[in-house]
Formats: sequence, structure tokens, C-alpha cells
Amino acid sequence: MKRSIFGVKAWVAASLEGLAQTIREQSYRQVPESVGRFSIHQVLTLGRAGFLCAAAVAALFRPPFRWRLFTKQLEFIGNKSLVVITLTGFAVGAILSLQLAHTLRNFGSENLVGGVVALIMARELGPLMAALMINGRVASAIAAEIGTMRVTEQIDALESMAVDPVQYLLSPRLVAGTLILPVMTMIFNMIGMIACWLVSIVLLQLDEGVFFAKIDDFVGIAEILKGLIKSSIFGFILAFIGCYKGFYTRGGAQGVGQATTQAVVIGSVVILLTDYFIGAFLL
Amino acid sequence: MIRFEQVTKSFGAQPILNGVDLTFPKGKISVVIGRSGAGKSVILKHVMGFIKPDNGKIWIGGEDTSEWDQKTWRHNRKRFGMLFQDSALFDSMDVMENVAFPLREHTHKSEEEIQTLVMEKLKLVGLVNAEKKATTDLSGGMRKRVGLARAIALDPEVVLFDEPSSGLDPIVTHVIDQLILDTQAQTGCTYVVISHDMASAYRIADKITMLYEGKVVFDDTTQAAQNTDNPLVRQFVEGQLNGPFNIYY
Repeated sequence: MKRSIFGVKAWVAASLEGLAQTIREQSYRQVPESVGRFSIHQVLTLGRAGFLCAAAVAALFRPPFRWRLFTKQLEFIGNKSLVVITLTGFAVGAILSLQLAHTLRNFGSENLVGGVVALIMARELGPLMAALMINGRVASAIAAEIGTMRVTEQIDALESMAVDPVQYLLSPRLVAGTLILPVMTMIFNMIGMIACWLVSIVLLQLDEGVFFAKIDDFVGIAEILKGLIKSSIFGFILAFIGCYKGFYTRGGAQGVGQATTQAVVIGSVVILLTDYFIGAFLL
Repeated sequence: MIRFEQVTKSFGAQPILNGVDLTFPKGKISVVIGRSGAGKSVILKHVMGFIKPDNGKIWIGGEDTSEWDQKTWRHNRKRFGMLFQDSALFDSMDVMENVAFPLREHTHKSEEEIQTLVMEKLKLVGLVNAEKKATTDLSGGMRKRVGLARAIALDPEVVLFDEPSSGLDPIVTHVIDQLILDTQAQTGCTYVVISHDMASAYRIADKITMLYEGKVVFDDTTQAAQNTDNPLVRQFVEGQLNGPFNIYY
């Protein structure tokens, strides 16, 4: 009886040791394998995205030129985002002014509020916030629309009718995104500055003449142009990521859902990262 | 005429077509039958140039398609029409716009001419007064009709059908079959139909081809298919569990 208990203990110990050894060996092998697989997958994804992007841009320069699709996308990305841009622009302008006024009052410089808010909005917050807001609405919608077309064979139907789906679906969206984002950013900035004026002049009773003089001092045409160039790049990025995720959707409804979520998440991250690099380059 | 010559195709390690020799004669209705996964739809995708064979050649109208580049394929696809399994109608467009789509893309006709042609095609498939309907408001049978009207809008030489009776009740299936027969008789096009509905295949086919495990196991007239003692064809036609088919549950 005693021997048999020792036997079981020894067997359990040997098994555990064997299991641990297996896990150690597997881990040693699996880690580099997983890293390799992940790296290859990322390189392939980047390559595929690069080719798709190049094909969509090249398709812009050959007929047929589908103006109707382009204007439809302008209307969808721009006009239908007006409400969200107006609301967020107003909120950002008002909050920023309020916080800055209270902080600058400690230094007796609250009259700088108008200039500082205008500079931050033109250079940074306007392009970034407008792009993030539109990304949330537009990239998801583009990914969902093109993804649904993929899983319901509508993209195959385009191909079967001798229509290039990249030219038909992607190119108008890319151009529309690139051109309309600067316009939306201008609107965002304008609404933000109206909010800033309301908070600074109407609410906090700051000097209106100094308010406008400081805006004039702090913000030149170069600052505004830098912001617009940024927003144009963000517009291209968010439209392309939405198109890319939709175009390569796999599976049914679940695949479309994943593509939609990924388009928004990846789009936001890429916009933020790009903002840093463009900022570093343009400053 | 479309001809497959020793065509092989694999997806990864999975062989789909294994040396397929096949002919779809001009002006006839050819039906390809076989179990799910037998490679029927892959045949259609090869004809449309969506995928390329690993080996072998596909001849369309006497031309070797292996020499066609992407541009040539796109140009030649105007000679084809295709009805997809779930119709693949553009849900952002109404019935009229769906049928008009290939005409707007590939012709320089005026809007009036396009509307007249669309109405002709819709009449041909038995859909009148439906041109303003949204595609989401259509029944399965109506969607197939719109899909067929769109497929024949450019008066193609070849029309391909991917399981035209899938998801339809037997009566609507019969209606669609009659439509296939009528439109083929009127247009004289070459029709290639993928199906596993034997009643439908017998009704419409001039020629029946059966695929099994990536190979052609039967290729003859409808009458020959009805009378054959080929055990694979018999088991498939009669839906028997016992027979030479490898059945996986």
C-alpha cells in the first residue's frame, strides 16, 4: 500500500516534470515562430495595402471619370458630417477657452485666450478633432458599405460587368476624403472660435479689441495652411483605411462587423501617429 | 464556344479541379451538376477570369485566355452576363438603375434609350411596373429576374448562372427555368448553368456535365443523363445514401 502511494507520487512528479519540460521546449520554439508569423503577416498586409492604394490613385487618372460618384461621396463625407463637426467644434472651443482663461488669469494674461485658442485650433486641434470625429462616422460607414458589397458578391458583380471595383468604389472616396476634410476643419475652427468668443467676451467679459488683436498676432496664414495640409492627409488616411478594411472583408455579417470596428480603431491610431510625425516635420 | 482543356486548380493543399476537359457549345444551355464543393462555381470563376487555372487552358471563342492580360479580360467580360446565386443586386440602387448599370457604364446611349432598353429587358423577364422598386423590397424570384435582366442588358454572347434555383420554392424555380428557356430562345446566347437541382437541370439542359472530386464523370445530352447507368450519376440523381459517393457528414 505504502509502495503504491510512493509509486503514484513518483508518477505524478514525473508527469508534471515532463509537462513542464514540454511547455519549456514548446515556448522556446513557439516564441520565434509566432514573432515570425506575425511579422510576415504584417509585411504582407502592408504590401497589400500599398498595392491597393497605388491602384486606387492610378485609377484616378484614367477614364471613365465618375463625377456623380465623387460628388455623392463629397456630400456623404462632408455635408452629412456637418452636425457632428459643429457640435464638437463648439464644445472644444468653449471648453478650451474656459480652461485657458482660468489658468491664464493666475498670470494676469487672460486677454491672450483668443490668440492661444486660435493658434491651437488652427495648428492642432482643428485638423485632429475634425479627422477623429469624421473617422468615427465615415470610416465605419465606408467599411460597412464596401464590406457588405464584398460578402454579398456585389463586388464580383462589378467585376463581371467589366467595371474595375477599385476605380468605382475606392477612387471617388479617396479624392472626396482628401478634399473635403480641409473644408470641414475650417468649419470646425470657425465654430470653435465663435464658442471661444462667446465664453471670453460674453461670459467672462474680456476685452474684445485685445481678443481680436491677439488672434491677429498669433495666427498667420502659414499656421492655417499647415493645419489644412494636415487635415487633407488625414482625410486620405481615413477614407483609405475604411476602403481597405471593407474591400478585404471576409465572412458574413461578423466579418463586416469586424471590418467596421477595425476601420475606426486603426484609422484613429494612424491619424494620431501621423499627426505627431507631420507636426514634427511642419513645426 | 467555351472549352476547358486539362484544367487543374487547387486552393492551398486542396485540389478543386483535377484535369477537367469540358466544352460548352455555342447557342446551347449547358448545365453543370455535382455535389457542394465539387468545383462547379470554380468553373464559372474560371470562365469569368476571376481566377486562373494552375495548369491547362481555357479557350473562349477560339482564343486562348492564358494569353489575356487584366485589360483584355475586362474588355472581354462585356461579352458575358452573369446571374449570381443571391442575385448580387446593388442595394444602393433601385431596379431600373440596376438593369441600366451596364448600359450606363459601357455604352454612350442617351438616358431615354437606356430607359427604353431597360423596360424591354424587364418585360422580357416578366417584370413590369417594378422599375422603381428598391431591391430590398423584392422577393427571391423577383431578385433573380432583375439579376437576369441585368445580365442580358448588354446582349452578351454568354450568360452564366450560379445556382439560379437556390432559395426558391419549386413553383418559382419552374418559373425561372421557363424564363431561362424563353430568354435563351429569344437571344440565342450560350447559357452555362451551375445547379444541383436535377428537376431543373432536366427541364432546361441541352447538355449535362457532372463533376465529382474535381473530375468530369459525365458529359452528355439530357436524354443520355436520364438513361445512364453511371452509378455516380444515378446516386446523385436519385439522392441515394448508398453508392460510390464519398459522403462526409
